[in-house]
Formats: sequence, structure tokens, C-alpha cells
Amino acid sequence: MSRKTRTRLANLFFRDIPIVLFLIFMLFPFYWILNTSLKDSIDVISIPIQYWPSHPTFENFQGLISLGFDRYFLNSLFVATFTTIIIMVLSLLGGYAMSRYRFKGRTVVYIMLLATQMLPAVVLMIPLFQTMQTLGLIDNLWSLVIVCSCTNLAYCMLMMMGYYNSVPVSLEEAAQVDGCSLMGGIIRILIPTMAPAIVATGAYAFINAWNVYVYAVAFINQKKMYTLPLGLNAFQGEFGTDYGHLAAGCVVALIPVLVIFAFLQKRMAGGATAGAVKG
Amino acid sequence: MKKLLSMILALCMVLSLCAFASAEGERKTISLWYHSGDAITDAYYTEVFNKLNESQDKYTFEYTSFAFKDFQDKFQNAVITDSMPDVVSLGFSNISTFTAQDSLLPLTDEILAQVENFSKVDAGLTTNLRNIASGTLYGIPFAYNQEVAYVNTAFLAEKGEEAPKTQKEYLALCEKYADAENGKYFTTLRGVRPYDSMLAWLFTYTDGAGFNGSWFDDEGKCILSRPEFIEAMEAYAGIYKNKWCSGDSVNNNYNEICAEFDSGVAYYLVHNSSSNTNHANALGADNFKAVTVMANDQGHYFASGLQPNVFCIPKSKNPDHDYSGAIVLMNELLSTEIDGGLCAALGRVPCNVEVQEQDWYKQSDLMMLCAGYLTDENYKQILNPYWLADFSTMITTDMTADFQAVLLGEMSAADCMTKWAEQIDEYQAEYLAEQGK
Repeated sequence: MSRKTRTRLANLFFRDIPIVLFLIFMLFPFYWILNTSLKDSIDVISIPIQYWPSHPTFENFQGLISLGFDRYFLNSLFVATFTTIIIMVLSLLGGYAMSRYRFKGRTVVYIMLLATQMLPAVVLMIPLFQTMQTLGLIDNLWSLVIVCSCTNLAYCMLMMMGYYNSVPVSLEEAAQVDGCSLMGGIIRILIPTMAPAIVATGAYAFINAWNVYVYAVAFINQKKMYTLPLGLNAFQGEFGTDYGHLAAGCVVALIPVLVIFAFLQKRMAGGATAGAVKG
Repeated sequence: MKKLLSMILALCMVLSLCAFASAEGERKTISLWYHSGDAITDAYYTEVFNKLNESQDKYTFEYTSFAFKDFQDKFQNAVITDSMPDVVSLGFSNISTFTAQDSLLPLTDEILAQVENFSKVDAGLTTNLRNIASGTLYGIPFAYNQEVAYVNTAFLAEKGEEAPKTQKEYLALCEKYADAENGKYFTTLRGVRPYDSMLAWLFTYTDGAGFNGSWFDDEGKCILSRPEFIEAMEAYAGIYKNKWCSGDSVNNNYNEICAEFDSGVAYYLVHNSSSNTNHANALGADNFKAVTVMANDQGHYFASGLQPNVFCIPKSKNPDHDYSGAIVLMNELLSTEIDGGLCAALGRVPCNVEVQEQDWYKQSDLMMLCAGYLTDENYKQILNPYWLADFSTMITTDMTADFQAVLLGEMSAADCMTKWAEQIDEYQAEYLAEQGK
């Protein structure tokens, strides 16, 4: 057996086949959701199992609109967008301070930020509900924006701190020597340099806010204020589950996340590891 | 000066009148939380609430529904934060949990006297509700589902068979038509939350050991560990072990057993009346029918006592809280027109006896079948001990795990039944100790 053949066989068994198996394993649930969403209510439960619908139909997607799913989509978009904006502004500035300044109690602040990540959502749910009730924000999407921002901010700030640490201070100093203010240096020099990192952090914040469920159950009562996860849960009733609409709803809910990954994956791949090693 | 004073006084009077007028015109908001919202219920109640709001100017009635999966957490949260609605609908099995937390208002005779439509509610159902709370009524039933059997009539006609009337006939058909190779079976079996169909089987098989559906013998000991119950469990688990039902049955919940029946994998299904519409959509109304569940050799058949959905009034932490609006709303929702409309739309069995005079009820074979249970002397209700605070958890969690273990051969039927009997005895002893008995 030639060396070339050996290399090809090694690549086949240790690279190509594992990758294909991994892809099948990862993508099968997504394929199955899509497959189910295109079936009518009879085909969904038909035996033998249909691996592709015999009569593909978009009636489940059309049905979503009559069930108010368009509203849920816009509500989720509102929460995720504003949460991402708030988190990005605050974590850019907070991360810079944590990275560049040496102040008294810095370590304590760092530990406190980490400690906030140790509390599960269900523990915070009751006190946060009471706070939102006092603020008159029950059944208001801003309650979710505020809570998602608060709960994700610490982690995003620490991510940003890592990215700032990887950018040499001399870059900023050079900008300031050339006449930039502190804020000007951050905006004109650091942010463009850290674009992949910012995109990764923003995507993290967006996806977390997009999927928020526990707080949404607590703060939202009225259907017109439902976000997508609440809307999806409504398809699972006391005496049956509407699998067709549930699958169609999942496909719709996946779209923004897939779009983010499709357009930003190159930047995210770089950004996710940018702060891992201090330069 | 006099002029100024008179002007100020006049202004004060005008302002007072305005304030009075606005106070008089202010409508009090009364909210209902519905525990299991779906498109049909939401559309129906939205219309009903609009009409109720147009028909009077004292209250603004608000309808809010929740996904069934979210509701328990949602209401629990409201109880803790004292942000409960005025009226809430609950599933039967939730009542013990919330009464144990003292979060539901006891419906005293004084309150019930104000709920005019209470007199139209089936007395037997309210008696069941009183029995689970030591004689106190915490909710008024409005609809229930009856355990029935569904048979694929097209299949039976093709094979020249009759729907099985007894457990023996059923087992014979299970064996005869099990076709594991082609994935076709006579029956379905529910491995997840199996209690209703499983208990019906056990009590029917044993004829309730002569205790008329009670879980306890004359000395107050749980009867589940008796040899006849162990034999009944072995026979029931044998349906799975003998491969007379699908291999997936161990993980089947209600969705899956209904799907097996609807897709033609199985031709016989024991489930409650709620799934009738789904079967009609999947199989066609002429290809299946609902029949009474299987009987034993004595002709008796057992099913869990009726478990209606109920309207309750959450108990405010404020001792001076005014419940008058909640009573008005509850009364409206229990009316013949509103309760009948809901049950007709959802295919549920109404608790308001006057609804039985409505055309849709009289013309429904399913309703007639369910009504027949109540007058049939051979029908025995299993008197599940819902008064035990841990019973709900036991039947949903422990019974699922243990029954699955029996199906998979990891636990013997004897060990399983003995464990359940001991658990029930323990809970009952705790309950009696709390009651000071």
C-alpha cells in the first residue's frame, strides 16, 4: 500500500467518516423539525414513518399567523434586539474599565460579577417578579429586556474584558498621541480591531434573550405579549400536542439564529477565541 | 371676598361631583386564569367575556389563559407573591396541592348561596370534591372527561370481530392480532403516567377485592399488595412482555397512545373522552367508536372517579378582601349557556345538569355513552385517595418509574404493588395524624 493510499485511508476513517457521522447526528433533529413542519396533522403520526412528507404543505406555517405567532416573533425580536444593544454598550464600556484600570476592589468586583452567574433563573424569579410588579412592568416586554440585560451583562462584560486584554495598550496610546480622546480611541481604534469579538458577544446576548423562557413565564400573562418560547409551549395542551404547528413554530424560531450564524460565523469563530490568550 | 368664597365652594362641589361620578362609573376588574388554553377555548371565552362586559357596567371581566405546561409554575408564583387572579380554573389533581398551601378559598354555604348556578351542578361531582378535602368544598366543577375505550370499527368489521366487552376477550384479541413484524397490534399500552388505565385494569381484574373501588380494606390498610392485585399487574404487564403491543409502549404517554390508534398501529385504545375529536379527524368519524371500558367476569367495570376541572377562588392574604366580583364571575361561567357552549365546543362532558337538555348533548353518542356510566349499576368508581397531599406526585412520578421497571423486567409485580401499598399506607397514616384521628 502506497503512502498516498495510506494517507487517503487515514483521512477517510479518521476525518471524513467521523465528520459525516457528526453532521448526521447534529443535523438530524433540525431535518426532522423541518420534515414535521411540512406534514399535515395525519401524516405527522402516520406509520410507517415518512422521512419526507408525501404531500408537503405549508398549512402549519399559515396556521401560525392565525394563532398570533407573528406577534410572538416581533415580541421576541424586540426583547432580543434591545437586550443586545444595552448589553453591548454597557459591556464595551464596563469591559474596558475592568481591563484597563487598576482600582481598589477590582478583584472583589470581578468575583462579584462571576458570582452573579452562579444563581439559576428559578432562584431569582420570585424576587424579580416582585420587583417588576412594583415597577408596573408585568405584561410589559421591557421587564424581559431589563432582566435579560442584567443577567447576561456580567458574562458579556467579562468576555469583553478578555478581548480588551488581548489588544495592546500601545495602540490606544498611539491614538491618543495623534489627538484622539479616550472615547475616541475606543470607538475609532479598539472597536474596529475587536469587531469579531464584539460580534461574538452580541450574538451570545441576542441568542440568550431570544430563548428566554423562565422569566417570560413569570412576567408575561397576556397572549399579545408572548415571546416565541411561550408561544411554542402553548402547542402542548392538556390532552394533546399539536406537533405540526409546534414544528413549524420551531422552524420560525430558528430563522434569526441561523441567519446570525450564517452571516457572522467567520467573525464569531475568530471572536470567540480572541480573548482566550493574552497577547 | 364672599364672591371668591362662593366660587371656591362651587368649584369644590363640581370637583366632588366629578370625583363621585368617576368613582361610580369605575368598573372593578375581575380576572379569570384558565389553566389549559388552546385556540378553541381562547376564542370561545374571549367572545363570552366580551358579551359579559357589554351586559353590565359594574365589572370588567378579564380572561387570561396559559399553556397547560406553564400553568402550575405560574399559579405557584402568583400564590407566593400574592398576585393571584380573582377566579382560577384547575385540574382535579391540583386541588390537593393548592389546598395544602391554603391558597384556595373554602366555598362556604354563604358563598355557595350567592352562586345561583351551583344548584345546577351534578351533586355527585361536588361530593367527590368535598371528599378529597375533609368535607370542605374548594372548587365548583364545570367539565370532565370520562375514561372510555376507542375501537377501530373498520378493522373489527374486516376481521368479523366484536369490540371486546371483558378483559378475557380483550386479552384473546391482543394475542390474536399482535403482528410485531409489521408493527401492527390490537392494543396500545401507556407506560408514562399510566395510572388511570392501569388502575382501571387492576380494580376491574380483581373486582376491587370486594371493597367497591376503595383503596383500603375494613382495617384501613391499602389493598394493592393483595395477591389478586399482583396477579392483575402481571396480566397487565404481560401485554407488553408478550409483545402484544408496540415496543415503544414503555415510553408511551397519552400523545403516543393516541397516535398509535390514529395511525392504525393499534385498533383499541383506553383513554378519556377528550381525544374523540382527534380520532374523528384522523380515522374518520365512521371508522371508530367509543365504548365502555372492559368489564370483568361479574360484569363490573371500574374507572377512576370522575376528575372534573373546577373553578376556584384564590384566597387573598388580605383578610378584608372583597370576593363579590369573583362570585359573580364564577356564577356566570357555571351558567347553562356558558358551560354548555364550552363543553359543546371542546367535546367535554358538562357538569351542569341542565346542559343535558341541550340538543348538541342529546345528539352526541359520546355524551350519551358518558351519561350511561352514571346510571349503570355495573360501573364502579375507583375512589383514588386524592386527599393525600403526596398522592398526585406518587401517581405521576413513582408509578411511572415503577411500572416501567415492571414492564422491562427490572422489578417484579409483587415488589411494585407492595411498594405502592406501603407508600399509600404511610401517606394515609400521616394524613390521619394531621387530622388528629
